[in-house]
Amino acid sequence: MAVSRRGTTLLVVPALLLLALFVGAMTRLVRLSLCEGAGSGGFGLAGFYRPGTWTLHGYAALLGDRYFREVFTFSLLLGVGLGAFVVVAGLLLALGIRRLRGTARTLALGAVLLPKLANVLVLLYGLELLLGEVGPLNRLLLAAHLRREPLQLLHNLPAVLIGEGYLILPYVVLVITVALDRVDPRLEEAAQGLGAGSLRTFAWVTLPLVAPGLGIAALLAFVWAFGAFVGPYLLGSPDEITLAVDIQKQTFENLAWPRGAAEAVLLLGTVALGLAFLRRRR
Amino acid sequence: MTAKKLAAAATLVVLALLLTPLLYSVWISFSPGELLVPPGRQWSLRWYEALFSRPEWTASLVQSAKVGAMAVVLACAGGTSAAVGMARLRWGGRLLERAVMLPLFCPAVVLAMGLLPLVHQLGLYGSSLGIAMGHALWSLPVVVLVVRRALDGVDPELQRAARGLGAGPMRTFVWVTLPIVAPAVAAGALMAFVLSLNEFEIALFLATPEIATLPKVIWPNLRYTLTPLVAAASSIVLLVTTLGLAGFAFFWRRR
Repeated sequence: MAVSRRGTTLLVVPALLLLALFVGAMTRLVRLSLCEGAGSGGFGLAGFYRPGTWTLHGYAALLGDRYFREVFTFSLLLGVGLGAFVVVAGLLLALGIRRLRGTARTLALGAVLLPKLANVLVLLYGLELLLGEVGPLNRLLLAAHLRREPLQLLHNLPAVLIGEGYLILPYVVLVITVALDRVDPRLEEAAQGLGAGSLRTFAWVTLPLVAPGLGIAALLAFVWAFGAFVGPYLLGSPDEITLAVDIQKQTFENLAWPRGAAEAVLLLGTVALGLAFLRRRR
Repeated sequence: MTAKKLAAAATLVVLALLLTPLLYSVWISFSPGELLVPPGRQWSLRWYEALFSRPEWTASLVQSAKVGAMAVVLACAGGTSAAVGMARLRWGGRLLERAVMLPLFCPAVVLAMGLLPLVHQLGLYGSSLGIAMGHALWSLPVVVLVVRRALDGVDPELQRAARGLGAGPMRTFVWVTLPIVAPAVAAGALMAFVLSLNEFEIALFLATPEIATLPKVIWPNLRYTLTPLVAAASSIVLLVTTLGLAGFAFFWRRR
């Protein structure tokens, strides 16, 4: 095999190029967060910042900013709360899908995948239509004389939770389904043969076996809920601004690239902490 | 037994709920009126005609196809090469395995924010390639996963035979390994295209008006266009996505 080393190395070059792109983007992000802002007049070839400058001003400004602290806290709560809820819901749904066989199973997995693969905008647009003032839900409530005025279902916290939940659930279900597939059904049968009820079998046999998969699902759910962008932007009100929404605002509305980058670095740092925490638990 | 039936029913209800927003928006796209209400007896294609008569929308469709094609080439080249590297290299392979999964744990907006200065620096701002590179990174883990599972099924004896007959690693890859994993690469390619077509955050950060992809054009219209026009655009994306997903399932089974 020694002769083949160089050839194999050559084969890996395309992968390394793409990874270099990722590393490059992350390094530029950190570097940008340490640059001075340039204001609206500063658009050069490089963008809205002063290349070559070094300052911690971006971070210092963030830490002293009450608005930023509120945004960060809200994002963190959303990440933990919604993430936990989606993992539980995803586990239940994955257990349901596990009982299906053959074509029914393929179709069920397709139904789970489609909303995720479909454009996030398409999905949220559909939700907006359903929950809007002239949407079917409100028309139903009015027709049944349960309400005199249409219910305000959009641009509030529940709408954000529903929308973002829709976006995260499919991936979580997929990851848990893969983990459940690896569980040897004979182990569960053995437990039941020894007299354990189905709930006990689940808690003491199935759950520990899928725990690593559940961990990955939980981390992904946290990452996406914490970094939620489209849901809060489209379905939320100014009370539900997340870090990701603020990054976009700072970058494109305030033209403060270094501040946007600093917020992105903090977001990524929190995600990395979560990842490290999960690895230590294992 | 009744508990099992209840669980099955609950699963079906949740699955139906997952699909409802998509189907409702497709239904509305056939509305003959100006309002966001579903068509009753009369269905119409007027919003599809309106869509295809506006240069802004048709240009974005072409642009999405272009970016998607570029992203497919990049993601398949990178993903296949990474999968092969993982199978053949020992410690380098394990490192690669971790590295290619990283983009999955990077929130889209963070990746987009990092790509923004990088793409500027590389002089690629305002080019389709800049967006396609971001999309390729996004779909890299998927292609790797799909191709790797196919590689696991390749008989190592075949490769050894090719080597024994004097073929180098590159030749063995092109003439022996690649034909066997080709269906998996095709499945990965379809998935990469679907992901690129539907990707929004990177396009929002990197696309200029001249190279706006479909999601980037849908974005402002989502808030300010109160006609079924956006529903029609959504339906087209959804149709292509569903076809892509079906194609993926087809190639995945042929593996």
